[in-house]
Amino acid sequence: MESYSLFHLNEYIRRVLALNFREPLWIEAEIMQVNESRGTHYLELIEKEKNSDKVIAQASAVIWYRNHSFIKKKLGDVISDILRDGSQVKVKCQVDFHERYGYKLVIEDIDPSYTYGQLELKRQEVLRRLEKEGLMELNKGLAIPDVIQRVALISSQRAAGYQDFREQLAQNPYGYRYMIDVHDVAVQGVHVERDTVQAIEHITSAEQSYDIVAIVRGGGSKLDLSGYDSYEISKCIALCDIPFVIGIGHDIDISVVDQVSSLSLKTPTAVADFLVEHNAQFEGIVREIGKNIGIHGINQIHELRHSLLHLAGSVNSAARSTLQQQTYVLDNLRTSLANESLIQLNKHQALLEKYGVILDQVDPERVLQRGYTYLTRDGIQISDLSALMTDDEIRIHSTDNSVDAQIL
Amino acid sequence: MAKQSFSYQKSIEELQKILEEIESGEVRIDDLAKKVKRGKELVALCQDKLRTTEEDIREMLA
Repeated sequence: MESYSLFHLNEYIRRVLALNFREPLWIEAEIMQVNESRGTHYLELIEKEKNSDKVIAQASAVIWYRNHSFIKKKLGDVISDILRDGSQVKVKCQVDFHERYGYKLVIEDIDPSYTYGQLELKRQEVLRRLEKEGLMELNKGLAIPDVIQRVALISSQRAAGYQDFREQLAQNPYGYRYMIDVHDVAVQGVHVERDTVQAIEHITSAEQSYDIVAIVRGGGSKLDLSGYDSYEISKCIALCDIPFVIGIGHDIDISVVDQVSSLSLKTPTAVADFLVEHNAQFEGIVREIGKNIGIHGINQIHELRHSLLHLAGSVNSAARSTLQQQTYVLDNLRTSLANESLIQLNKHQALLEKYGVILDQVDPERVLQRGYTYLTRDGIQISDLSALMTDDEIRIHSTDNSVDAQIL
Repeated sequence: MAKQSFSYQKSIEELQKILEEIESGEVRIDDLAKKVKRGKELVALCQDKLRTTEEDIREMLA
């Protein structure tokens, strides 16, 4: 059996490949890893089994500096978004084989619409799944407390939006103070999901309770935002019992995380403004209540004063009427007393008159004036004439005078 | 003095006593005159008392 040297074999393989892959071709794959060295990008492309993480194909690829310049000229900065770990890409490449370095794909062009499309497909799938599992509205159903004080902040301290957020909050015109626990995470790239999920789990299991969880980061491209289309993050948010407020810097596009959270705002600054205005609104309500209590109190005092005056008037008139009544009773009593006394007086008068008449009748003077006389013997009145004896000396009395006589 | 110590009640009692004595017919003529005179005096005093009392009452009523 004939044997070949390794070089001969590889040279043969190279010729076979060169013969069969004369023209470059478009392939679809996922970037597992990308490294850059002096303008040249080295990629590891893979393909996974559908609905699984099992890698069924893998190949190394390279974008030479010259090709990269060409693509960048065509796509602009989007290229750096696409060339990231985890990106789904459609690339135009030449199949290359080198006797020493082996098989590799030399990338000449990139179709960005494929990457966008894949992201959108993934996004739609995640949304459908969340919908199906009833997770879409859970966090939205949580009430944001009237006053927000304790904030769990998920962000990157290196991100521009983070500083904006802190400054905006610190410089609030009302002087509100917030307790902010920062969970430093990657806000772009492949670690967004892992870091964010870990942070949420940490927050949920922490002893400290929070009023809200805020996820903020500065602006980014559409591709940049794709990390927040994560099912895992969205599920964590849905199952967390703290309301989430999101400000991950976007103008038009809305991530899945935005959609499952209690409140979605455009920028970190907008989130800071919300925290301040939300509290200011509550303070306003409290102030209004305070004012109303004051007004109410004054009204009540007025009412009480009024009823007091009314009462005083009533007491006055009641006293006056009682007094009048008593005066009337007294008047009646006085009249009765007098009348009764007069009646008694009249009775006495009548009695006295009767006594007067009797006295007149028995008055000896008046009897004598009518011509009667009476006899006395030795100064003693004689009422029985048969008691008189012959020779008895008697005196006969009339009104004015008397004469002595002798019984014959 | 006499007016101040005047008692209507006592006067009436005295008057009634006089009348009782006179009505019983046991009074001698000399005493009778005295008693009648005293009785009339008492009647006048009492009437005077009644008159002043009535005046007081009417004054009170006015």
